[in-house]
Amino acid sequence: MSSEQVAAVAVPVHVRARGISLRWGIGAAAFLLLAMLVGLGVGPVRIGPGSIVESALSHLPFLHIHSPLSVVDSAVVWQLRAPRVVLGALVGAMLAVAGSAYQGAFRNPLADPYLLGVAAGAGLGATLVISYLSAQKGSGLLLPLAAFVGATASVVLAYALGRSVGGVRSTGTLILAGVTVAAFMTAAQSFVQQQRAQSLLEVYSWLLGGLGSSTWHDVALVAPYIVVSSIVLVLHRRVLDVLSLGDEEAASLGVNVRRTRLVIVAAATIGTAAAVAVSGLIGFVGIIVPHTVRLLVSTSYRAVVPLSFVVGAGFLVLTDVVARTILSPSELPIGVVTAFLGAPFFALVLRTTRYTSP
Amino acid sequence: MTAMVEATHVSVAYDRSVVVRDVSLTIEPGEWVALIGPNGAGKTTLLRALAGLIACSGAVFMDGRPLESLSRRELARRVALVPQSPSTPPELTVSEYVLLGRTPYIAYFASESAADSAAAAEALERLGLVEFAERRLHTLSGGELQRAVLARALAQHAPLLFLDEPTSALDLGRQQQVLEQVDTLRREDGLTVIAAMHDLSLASQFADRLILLDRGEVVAQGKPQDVISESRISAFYGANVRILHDNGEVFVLPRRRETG
Repeated sequence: MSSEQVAAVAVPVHVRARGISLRWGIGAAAFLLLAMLVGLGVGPVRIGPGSIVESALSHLPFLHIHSPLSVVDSAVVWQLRAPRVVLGALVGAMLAVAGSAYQGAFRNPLADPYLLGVAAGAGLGATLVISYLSAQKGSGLLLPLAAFVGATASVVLAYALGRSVGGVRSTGTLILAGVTVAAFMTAAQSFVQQQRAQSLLEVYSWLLGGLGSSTWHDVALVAPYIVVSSIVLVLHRRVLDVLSLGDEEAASLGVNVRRTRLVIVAAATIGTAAAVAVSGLIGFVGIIVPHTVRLLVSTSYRAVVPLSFVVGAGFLVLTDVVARTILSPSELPIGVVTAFLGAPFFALVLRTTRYTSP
Repeated sequence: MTAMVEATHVSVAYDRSVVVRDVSLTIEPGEWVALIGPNGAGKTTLLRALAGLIACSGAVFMDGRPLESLSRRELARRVALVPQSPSTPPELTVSEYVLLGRTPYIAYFASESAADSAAAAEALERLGLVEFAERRLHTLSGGELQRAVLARALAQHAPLLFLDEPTSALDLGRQQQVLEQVDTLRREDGLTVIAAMHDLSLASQFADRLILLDRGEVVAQGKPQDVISESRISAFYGANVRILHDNGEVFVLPRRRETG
């Protein structure tokens, strides 16, 4: 009798979607904080993390903490290194979040922000400015603008081409359209570059990517784009899980697939274009970071998108530390470091992924 | 009483070839209707058109409302579709997967509410999946996976259940189990079921009514014992069969052609 009653009030199964557990949330935040302290402290003048924290707190009102840093050290940390660290964090966060969003929107684990010709378009825009306007005043602001326009134009072209050949339902068509546009943009960029050989070095150093001359001005220039794009993408994390069922099933669950994919791709592209505009071409971040999160935490986009933002930020800050210290006093372009890490990682993902043709 | 689904002169063309031609049908609430017909007869296409997933000419009314007047979300609250080969992301857990069925009730940028979790939990319980709740989809057998897909459709709380060849990948026992479960859900919740079905014996035993399609057109419809005949199966499937009637049940037995 009593056992029947127990059975009647059986504990109901608890259904919930795994988001980010507290453990991983704190872990990712700690990683980012640590990366930023390393980024601020490491360089020709080494400054301990304790002094940096105290110096940071001394800027806050009412705490009455005195900065232990000398005026020179303080300037090194807050005027030279801090903008570089913050810009690196923003760019890394954006590239990683955009990578995860592209992978979800196209259901392709190897998709990344450069897939639809973002890199080639930005490269063409930047090369045009460097080659023809380098000597003129004001090209400092024109360069990021041209890269931004080139990157966005590539994606718009790729999207239009993909749709015109009936690729509305097939993501494979869109990817091929991106490759086509990228090939054309690269050809145009090479043409300009060869024509103006005297600016070859400057073009190359931009193409290889770097955070070398970052200022607070650069941070202010791109932060709004990156913050807004990232918020839009993080808000789409559950919808990205629905899209992983494929277009038809997502539609049968009430999602307007075409519009949703357009919004996601637009947000990821605008954010990436802004990041590329100030940092040059830094590849593979959008592959390395989201897949690391998938391996460690969860394949659900509820975890992948927000954690990619935080981990991507820390990752690029640390990568930049490697880039500027490994050949000290000269600097290695950061794009070279990410490619060194990313290419083997890409191969690993290619081998292990359960890839189904879209 | 308003018909659950009413379609008049529905045609679907891919490029220039017409796949569904001038189909008119009425489905009453609580009915189980099986779409039968040879490969390429247009069963899947007709289901997709009725579910509003592809464009069609003609008119479709869903519970009295024209299909095109319903938003994607409203439609998803009325029709749950189980496709022939559903995508089942391998790393998702069963409960996460079933929870996706609640999408039509969750605001675009919001997360699931407690009511959504409860609906998913109920769907898991009713399909006997409680012990599998935290298992990842790639660890399930074919029959378990099909139950998970049904649970997702059930969590959608739609009065109409569209099934496209729901048991084509299952063995004999699993086929019966899944169809019995669908029938139980139908009786308990008053669902209306439209299923494209391959196996004519199973279709005859589970469906109230059969609609026989050939080359996109309805060539016969009615009670199983009236639709299934040796001459029709021979004409439309090109198959040589014997049909047994036993206690009102219809069995379709394939026969090897007599030689000589």
